[in-house]
This record gives sequence, C-alpha cells and structure tokens, in this order.
Amino acid sequence: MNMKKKYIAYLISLLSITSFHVLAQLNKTLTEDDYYKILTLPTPEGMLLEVGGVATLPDGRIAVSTRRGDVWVVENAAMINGTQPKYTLFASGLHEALGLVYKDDALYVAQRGELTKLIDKNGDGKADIYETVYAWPISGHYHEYSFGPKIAPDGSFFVTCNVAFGDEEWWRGESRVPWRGWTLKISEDGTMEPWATGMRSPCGLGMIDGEFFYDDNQGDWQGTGGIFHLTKGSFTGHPAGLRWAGRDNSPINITMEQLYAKVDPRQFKREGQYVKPENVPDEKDPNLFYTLKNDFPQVRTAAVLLPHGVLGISNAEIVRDETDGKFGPFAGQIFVGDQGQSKIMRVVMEKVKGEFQGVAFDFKSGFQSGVLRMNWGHDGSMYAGLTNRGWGSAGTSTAGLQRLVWTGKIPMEMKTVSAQPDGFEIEFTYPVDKKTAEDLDSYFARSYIYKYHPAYGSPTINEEKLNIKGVKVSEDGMKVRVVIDNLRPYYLHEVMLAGVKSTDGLPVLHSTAYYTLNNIPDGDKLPLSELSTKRSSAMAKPVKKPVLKTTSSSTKKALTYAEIEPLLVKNTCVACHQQNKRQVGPAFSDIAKRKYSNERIVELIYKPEPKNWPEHETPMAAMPQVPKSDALQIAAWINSLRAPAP
Amino acid sequence: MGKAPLSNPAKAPGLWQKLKISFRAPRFNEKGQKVENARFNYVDLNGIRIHDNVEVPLPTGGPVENNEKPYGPLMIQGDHGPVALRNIKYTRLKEAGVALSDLTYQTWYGNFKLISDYTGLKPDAWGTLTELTCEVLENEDAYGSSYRGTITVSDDGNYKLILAYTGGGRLVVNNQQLINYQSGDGFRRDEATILLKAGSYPFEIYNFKNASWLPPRLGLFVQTGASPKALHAFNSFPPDDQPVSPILINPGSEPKMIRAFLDFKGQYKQRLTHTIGVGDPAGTHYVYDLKSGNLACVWHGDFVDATPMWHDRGDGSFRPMGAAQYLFNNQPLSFLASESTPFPVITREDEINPDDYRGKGYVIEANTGRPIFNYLYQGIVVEDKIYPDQQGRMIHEVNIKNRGAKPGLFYKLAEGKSIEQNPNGAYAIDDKSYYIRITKGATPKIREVNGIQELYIPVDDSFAYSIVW
Repeated sequence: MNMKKKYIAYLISLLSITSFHVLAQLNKTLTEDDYYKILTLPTPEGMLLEVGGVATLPDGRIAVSTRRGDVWVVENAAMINGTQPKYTLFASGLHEALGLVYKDDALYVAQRGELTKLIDKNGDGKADIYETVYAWPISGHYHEYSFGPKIAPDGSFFVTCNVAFGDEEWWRGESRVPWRGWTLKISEDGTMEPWATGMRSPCGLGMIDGEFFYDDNQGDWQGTGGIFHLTKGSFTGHPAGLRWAGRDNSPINITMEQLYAKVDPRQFKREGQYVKPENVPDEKDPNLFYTLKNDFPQVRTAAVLLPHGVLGISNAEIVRDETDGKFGPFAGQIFVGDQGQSKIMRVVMEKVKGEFQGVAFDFKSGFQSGVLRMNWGHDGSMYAGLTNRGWGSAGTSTAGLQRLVWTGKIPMEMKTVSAQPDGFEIEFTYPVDKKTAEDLDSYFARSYIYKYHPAYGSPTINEEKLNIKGVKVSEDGMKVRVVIDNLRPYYLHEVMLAGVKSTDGLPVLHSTAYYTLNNIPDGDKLPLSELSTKRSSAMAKPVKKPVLKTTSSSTKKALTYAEIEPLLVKNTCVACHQQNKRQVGPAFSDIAKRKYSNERIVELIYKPEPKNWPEHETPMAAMPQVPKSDALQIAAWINSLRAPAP
Repeated sequence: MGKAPLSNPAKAPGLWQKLKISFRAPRFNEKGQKVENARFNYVDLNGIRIHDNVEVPLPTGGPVENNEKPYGPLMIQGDHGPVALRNIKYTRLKEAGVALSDLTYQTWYGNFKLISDYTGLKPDAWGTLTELTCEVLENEDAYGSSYRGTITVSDDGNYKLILAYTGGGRLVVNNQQLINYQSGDGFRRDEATILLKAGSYPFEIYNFKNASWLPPRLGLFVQTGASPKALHAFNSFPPDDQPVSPILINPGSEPKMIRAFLDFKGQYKQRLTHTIGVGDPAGTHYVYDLKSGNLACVWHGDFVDATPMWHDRGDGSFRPMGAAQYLFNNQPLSFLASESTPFPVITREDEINPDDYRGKGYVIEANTGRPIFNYLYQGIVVEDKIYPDQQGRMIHEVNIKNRGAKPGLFYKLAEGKSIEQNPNGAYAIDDKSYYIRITKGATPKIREVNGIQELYIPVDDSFAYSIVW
C-alpha cells in the first residue's frame, strides 16, 4: 500500500468512527471558520504582493508572480517551524504577470504581450534567462490583459486574452489586433494555434482531468460569470474576437455579420455620437445565448453559470482539489476564486449528453483582498494570491498572500448535486434528519436565465418557481432525490435547503445549490409512490410567517435577522451586504444611519446611486428583479437597525 | 541664494537644445513699492521642468541694473565658452480682465443622453446667479442644466476657454459653439480659443450627467496669462482632494528592467507595446523594443515614472523621467532588395512571422546584471548589447552570430530630417539632436527614403556604435 492509499484508508476509518459531527454538541452557531481557516503570510514591510499567479515548486516552495512584474519564491510558506517565510526575488520587470506555472525546471508566465520562460541557469535562485516563447500582438489598451498559462496534456500552454474597449464606445469590448478575445494554445517551440474565441475577460483558467476550462467575467454579452469547457473551435459569446474568424488558422467559422444578423449589437448614433446600449426592462423575447446553438453549432454555453452578485462578481482561478483529502472532504472537486467578493466557490461538474454541466456552491468568504489565483501547497493547504487594485473588493487590502487551511472538521454541506431525469440528487457530507429532509417545506427552488445582449450584464429573467413534486431520502440518509416537473434545459436551477438538518441537528452550512442544467439526462423517473410529499405547514397549525407576507404597516414589530434572512438570500443582497460589517457594499446598519424612507431605499434598490458611497469601489448593480413587496420588507428591516432616538 | 535646477537634462556640446521660460515680472503698487516678487512660472529644458513656480526675491547675479522694475530688457548671460542661439520666440503674456455677469440657470432632472433630450422640456427649476456654479443642482446625478450670461473681456485678443465638467457639456460664446461633448458619463477638460475684441458677449453652457459614480462638477477657466483663472465658484469645481502619489522607479545598485508600453515621442498613437526599460545605476537609461529588436530611446537622469501603469487599473505604460532622446521606430536589421528599398515597418496589428523576425527575449549578464537581447532574423542569430559608458554615452554592440552568404543585409542606425558628418567623424542626426559614432564595423552611408534621411550600415559582421546626446 502506498502512502497515498494509506492516508485515504486512514481517513475513511476516521470517518466511520466519527460519523457524528464533533461540533454539533456545542451550543453555538457554526460558521465557515470552524471548518476552513484563512491564515495570512507575513511579508516584509514595503513588499507589495499584488498577486497575479501562484505556482507550487516540486520542493514545496511557493512561487508568486505579481501585477508589478516580480516573481517571488517563498520558502517555508506554511511556517511549519514557527519561523517566518523567506522571500527571494526570482525575477522582476515583467509586464502585468497574471499567471505562473512550473514546468521542467522553469517557470512560465504570461505577460501582456508574450509567454515567457524564466530559467535559473546558474542555480543562484534568480532567473538569468527571460526567454520569449511566443509574442502576440497587442494594441496597448489598458484592458488587454493576458492570463495564464495552464499546461495542456501535450505539454503546450493555454493563454487567454482580454478584449480592449472602444474609444468613443468605451463600453464595447473590441479586438483591435489579432487574437484579443481568444484563447491561444502555444507550444514550447513557439508555434501558436488559435484555440477558441468569445472571451471577454477570461481571468480564470483551469485544467481539469486534461480538459481546459476557463471562466469569464460578467459584462457586455456575458450576462453573468460562468465556467466554460473550452474545446477547440468553441465560441463562448463575446463577439469581438470573431473579427479574426476569417483567418486561415482560425478554427471558428462564425462571422460577426452572421451573428449580428441574429442578435442586434445595438450600435447606433444619435446626433453623431454613439449611444451606450442599456438593459431593456420588460423586454419581449430577449435573446438567450443557448438558442444560437441551432444556427451556430460552435456556440458553447457555460458548463456552470456563476450567478452574478451571488457566486462572485469577477470570477478568477479554477483549481481542482488534488490534495487527496488533505484539504477536507471535497477531494477531486473544483474551487473557483472571485476577485470582487474576495471569496472562493466550490463546483462539481458532470457530463450529460456529451456536455459538461454542474453545480456551484458558496464555499469560503473573508479573504483580505480579491482572490485572483489559488494553488495547493504540499501541506494540503490552499494558497490564495490576492489583489484588488483598480477594482476594489470585499476584502479591503489591496494585495496579499493567504492560506486556506482545513481545520479537520467536516462541515454539513451538500457534497454534490447531480441531474436526474426528474430533478436532482443531492448528496450530503452527513446523514440528514429524515423529518426535515422529507418535509417539502424545507425546500425552495426556482430557475432563471440571463440575456445575451450588448448591454453590461443582465438581470435574471424568465424566473419560474420549481414545482417540487416530492423528495426521496436514501436509506442511509446521505442522499436526497428532489423531484421537479418543470426543469428547463440551459437554465440555472437554484435549490435552497433552508430547513434540511443533519441527524445532529446542523443546518446545511451553504444551503443553496446553483445547478446549470444544460441537458436533462435520460432515464427512468422515480414513481410518485416512492416520494415523500409531506408538508409540515399543512400538518401543523399554520405558523405565522411575517417574512413572506407584504407588510405595509409601519407599526408592526421589526423583523429579526433570522426572519429577514431568507429574503436577503433569495434576492442576493447578502452577496454584497452584511448586517453590521462593510463588505463589497456598505453594512445594512450603515445604510440605516442615512435615514432614508423605506420608499427611498426601494428606489435605491431599483436604481442605485453608487455616488452615495464613494468609499466603495464596486458600484451596486440595479436590481429590478426584486419584487416590490420583498424590497419594502427589506427596507423596513434595514431601517429597524437604526438605534431609536433617545 | 540661487536655486539649483531640479535635474540636469542638458545635452552634449554642439547639439541644439530647447529652453522654454515663463517669467512674470515683479509687481508694484501705485506708490512704486514692490507687492509681489518676480517669479519663474516655469523653466523647461529639453522638455523637462527644471524650475517650477519659483520666486525671485532679488535681482539675479550680474543684472542689467539693480533696481527692480515692472518692465525691462531680456538679457542672456553666457558662461564657459561659445554659445549659439537660434529661433528665439516670445509671447508677452498679459492677464486680461474677464468677468461674467447677468447669470441665469435652468435645471432638469432625468436620464438624458443628449442635450436636446432636455432643452425642449420645461425646466424643473430656474433662477439667477451671482456666480457660475453647479451647486444649484438638487440631485447628484441624472440632471440636465443650462447657464446663460454675459462674458466681458477687457482687451482685444485670443482667449483660451477651458470647460471642465463631469457628464456632457457644451460651450457657446457669441453664438459660436466652441465645445460640444455629448455623453452623460465623461470627466472632461475641453479647451477652445476664441478671438474677441474688448467688449461684452452672450455665452451659454450646457451640462448634463448620467453617471452616478461621478460627482457633479462644472468649471469654466480663462487663460490669457501663464495659468488658467477660474470664472466659477470654488465648490463648482473644487481641486482634487485625493491627488495620486506618484510611483517613481530608479535602479539601485544593480540595473533595473521593467517591461511596459512606451508612448514613442510621448504620443499614444505611436505606442510601442513590447518594450522594456533598462535603468542603469550610472544614471543613463534606455528603452528597447522587443517586437522589432530596436533601441527606441535613451536618456540621462531619473529612470521611469510607473504611475500610469501601476496606479489604479493603470494603462500599462511608463514614462521616462529625463529628457528622452527618441531615436526611431521599427526593425533596424533587414535584407534590402536594393539600397533604395525602405526598411520594414511593423504595425501593432502584425503578428510575428517566425521565419522573419523573432524576438527570443534576454539573458542577464552575470557580471553586470544587464540584459543582452537575442533575436532571430531570417535564421541569423543576433545578440544586442546596450550599455552606458563612463561619459554617459550609450554603446550599442550588434553581434551577428551566423551571417551566412546572402547579400544585401543592412542595419539602420538613425533617421531624421537631416544627417551630417562632423570633421571628427561623428554623425549629427536630425538637425543636431544627437550624434552617432561607429566604433566597429563598416563605414555608414546616408540615404533619403520618403523624405527622411537615414544613416545605415552594410552588415557583414558584428559592429558597434555609440550614441551621444
């Protein structure tokens, strides 16, 4: 038995012994910190780690590249001996080094205009060769960032290229020179293969089981962030790169004219000046990206949509947990960083009818700056490279390197969610309490999608409540089948388990699953006879639930946080706001201090005025999809946080 | 006590230099008593500011006379040998009297994309003003406004008007539209010059904004003297209360290399995208273009200002901090079909053609810490070595590893509107902007291509030259 297998066997035996949750007996609310702890690496005063790349060296040292062009190698990053990490400047002077990878005794880094190989030939710990592997054109626009590389199974490198923006049409992503808005595959000998286009701001790259994935950032033509499986010749939505589709080596055969014949780019002038396209409220028959697959087979929709404002606002690195359990119970699963919300999400994908799809959960918030890059240390901890310069983030530091460490405790979580012909199967980390899990009132689910249009971002549209016909809890309580009769392909299906508890009485730590259902698997459906269709609300005396009713009277007693929380979660307020702590947006208690009327707060939910909060760098998106009754209740609750006048 | 210049951007002897001085004479009251010292508003040498808003409390050494007066002759004092002067130009700056009166305003509230979206509507508010100010706005965003009044000028002459504002704006003076920018999310400082005779004229300003992240701002400045004068209320366009701390980079004890975009000759249109700045501890620096294997500019003094690249999102560029001597752009090494064939031009759109020019990056030289650049040109291996000598000259060694037998290989050394050879053998480039001297290799030739003179050298082997400026 090798060491790895031994370790897994040890873990399994450990799990079978402690099948109950060790923290459950403690009378306290358990949080992310009880399971995963963020530790900060100290840096010498004056050292600025605006991290653009994190690589793990074969000897366990951690290398980081920075936006200021340095590559630092960190010795004893895990501080095992209780001693300080030591930093050595390996290379410097690079142009916005937004990625770093180790291969064959060298480090590879994408600069704005080239892929560079850094070699320490004389072994003094500093690169003495800065070799250009391949240089691509660039126009010199600020937004032309280049990300990567990631190493393909054949040893070549994937690099992704941001679009520029227009001069007059500053809102419109454009590809001014060849291959902006593209993913490139570059071999060691310097030959380049244009791989795919449709990229807008492809900050996150990931190699998962030999397949290349990337995530894009919400903006024009990208209604929300999402992870795409990028096979050669894929088109993921942003039209700018199609400008070069006619070139001999382009694997894409969609022209911009063909696309614009189907989707109006809304590029028009009034009085000689271009007018910025905005979201059309109550738009009849808006374009949906997946429908273009009929006309253009190369259209590639997201494998996993990451709803904007909920699972990030600027998605970044994609890494697979390759720690064989050292990082906890999610071995083999995928983690995705987010810059703006300074957090990490968890993703599990499956292939259905030849296409990847899957589920995303919230995982860990609270990093000190934007999470741009992650990689694994030999100790099984995750190294998160941070920066927020120019964009701001929930974590208010501008930079840093932090470690995320598993405390050894397993949280009560949905381990994964998989699609079924008639709904979803949810697998848990602990057995569920059947009473709560068989109660349909423990569940709330809905589905929605995003527009495909040239305006910046998209509200969620076509929202539909999912009809949960029944649930079936497995014998061992580890799985629940949720049967739904109105699934929609390509829609994001959101399943909230507000009421489900473990047998130890623990709620699900992150109780919402976001499943992108590109395809509904074929197969048998569960017979209704096997399902529980119980509703505690139908059996018990009707419990007064003020949260879900419209309140107009101001004399009513203020809601508690527990009462308002479902509304805050459902409407994604908590993605950016907390009760008493500044996050991406101001704390609710700080909003209360502004003494707005409830009606004014509702107005600001629908049409925010970010100028009111100049110290917050990320402006709030308009939230026209929040129902007015919800908005009024939220507003009343916010105002209830204001200390009464003495 | 004299005041030393901020830096020394002076060029080598024999080269033309550019000096720009803005001087304000001392001011006296009716009794003839001095009320304000003389001052240099600024002094720029070769484009670098060496004095910035410096008062001159007493006559300088060796003056024409010792009594300060509001008017007097200009005197240029020489020192240390012969000095040649040419192209002396002057402008007498006079602070003209400019005043606004009869001010009225109208405001509208709504999301306007163009001025015509609101001017036809009934305004939400209107009234008269004693000074021009956007403080009349009741909302911080989603507004339209117009301001009208009379502008009175004291003298005949050119008036530079500057409209600074957030959102969109239009300035009309005496029924002439001088500024018109219609986008609700601008943060602009537009200027226009109008010739006016002494007298009064109607003016109109329109300003609208549809950008919640920008505060309301509206400023109107007039400039006839050395610096603009505000015609608006202070709080209508207050000074920036969060000025940027500059990020200035200098080499320490070892050479410093930084990749960045370079705006060639300071022009965004000529932005070079694959460039590296190399700062030497000796204080002589250069920028090399890795996309064409070309030395793009050289300078003395401080190294680079990286603020444009590293502040906030940044635009990816840095600026040389000394008086940069820009050389020329594009690939200097090429096979030419004939000696009248131009050297190749590489645009930003061009991809590399690996069979033609291909940059290979650089190697750090162990004993000096300086980079040595490598590239391939049609199979020829080239090593580019650039370093300053003790006298502040830049030495450029071009080492050809495998020349081969194909004839017609040339290297461009310099270009300019004129190139002449000095008796000492050096070539004075571009109307005596800098010198090139071959230290190893064949004798260069001068030719004219498309109206530009070029200094070039046939390449049969490695060669070297120095640049003096």
